[in-house]
Amino acid sequence: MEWSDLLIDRELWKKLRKVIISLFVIFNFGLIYLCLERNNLLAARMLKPFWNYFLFFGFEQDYSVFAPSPIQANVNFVATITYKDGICKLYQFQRLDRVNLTNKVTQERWRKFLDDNLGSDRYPFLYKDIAKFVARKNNILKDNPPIAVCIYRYTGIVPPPEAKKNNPNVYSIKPLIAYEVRPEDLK
Amino acid sequence: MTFARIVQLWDEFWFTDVSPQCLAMFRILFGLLLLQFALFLLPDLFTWYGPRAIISANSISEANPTVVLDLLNMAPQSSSWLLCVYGAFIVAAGCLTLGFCTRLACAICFVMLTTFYHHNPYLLNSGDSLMRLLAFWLIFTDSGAIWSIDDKLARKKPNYKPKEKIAGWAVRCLQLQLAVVYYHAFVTKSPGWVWASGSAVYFAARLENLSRFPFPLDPNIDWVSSAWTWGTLFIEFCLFTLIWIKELRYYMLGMALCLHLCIDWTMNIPQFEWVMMATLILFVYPNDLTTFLNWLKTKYSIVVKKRLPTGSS
Repeated sequence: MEWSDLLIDRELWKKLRKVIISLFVIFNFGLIYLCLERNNLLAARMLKPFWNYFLFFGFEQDYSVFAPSPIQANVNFVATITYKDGICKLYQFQRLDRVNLTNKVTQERWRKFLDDNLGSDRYPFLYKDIAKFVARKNNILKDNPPIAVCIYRYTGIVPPPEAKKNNPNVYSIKPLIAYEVRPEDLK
Repeated sequence: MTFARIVQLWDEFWFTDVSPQCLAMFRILFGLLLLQFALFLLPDLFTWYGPRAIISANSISEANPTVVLDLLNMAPQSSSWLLCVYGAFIVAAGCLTLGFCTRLACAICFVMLTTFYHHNPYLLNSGDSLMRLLAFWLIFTDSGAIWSIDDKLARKKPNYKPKEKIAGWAVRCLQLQLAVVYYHAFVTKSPGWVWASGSAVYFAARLENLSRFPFPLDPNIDWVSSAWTWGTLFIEFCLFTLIWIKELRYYMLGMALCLHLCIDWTMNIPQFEWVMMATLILFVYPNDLTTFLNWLKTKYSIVVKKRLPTGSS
């Protein structure tokens, strides 16, 4: 039994097979093309009626790695956790330049999450959740819970090729969020 | 060119049956990559997807209010449900690799990959998007036709006929999906000034979190950076255009392999490069793959014979 037997009579399928498959292919690759060109207003408008179908199945895609230009900065993130008794602790988020090869491979998602998304300023709504996560992760002292979390982003601009090649990166620091931890955040 | 000729060309391109070898090889490699995907996810599974994940399900649904395919949201958030979904994904990926209930296994893999994507879209990269799409197109292929448990079981049936040819349209979709990747990579890069000026690889090589091993040639030297940068653009252009020309195909595949191996050596984007390299196998002509496998078999049997002690059969 073929999978198509579940949907359609075999004889009818033989007659319509090429037409149905052609339409299916044109429809889906057409939408994929429109999705890739969605900065074009016409393409975005044409895609709009099908956008929910497209999103539902996770067909949206983007292969613009290093496009139109690679990120020209090294970013990393730290958080400070202030405890009830006033002591302060520094929390370092994953830094892939400081781990061995095995961890580099398995922790690649942290790079994507932190450098490409948290580092891009496009998703400020993520900061609060990350602050809560840091608070939960560092709630390790008995009767001394975290009461505040601040997250900072360090950015080091890569010097242009015309500059002296071995210039050290010049770092700047930007506070992303100062979050007051509530007891329910720690549950 | 007449309309009838266009229809004929369309028909030849999409509806010519193909040998199943390359597809079966791709299925096995793809299944292994899915297992690797699951393995890489394991250390931080609960951090990314657990009931107390780094980004809460509420924040993600608020940011993306559209209804999406997400099995993790179809039951109350709990560690046991997450483990069920994760376990089902591993079983399905294993079945796909072995070719057991291949089409169903592939459909489950697609649903799981889509679930992981929708449940936390902020940690998946282009390689994951490609895997999701490849899993989708793979559902429509007869990838379990050979080198599979499905085939072994079918052999026991009295009316068994070996599948020498399978429908080619979905294999074309897989090939086209790969060409889409190169097309988009090329058209989005080409307007960038660093790509035009030849310094893109210089900048990419200075990203500390992304670097793995040193470049074979130092991109801090201007002409080396330009060669890497423009070479990348040239290869990406060729891989959605010239790869379709029969006489040029193996040159293009060779260049693609060099490009991906170089990126894999120098940059830490693990699965993306491996998925791309695995997908390139779909462009190999089946006869050539058979010849290569036969050569490998002969060579291997010679090695085995040499290692056997004298007198043994």
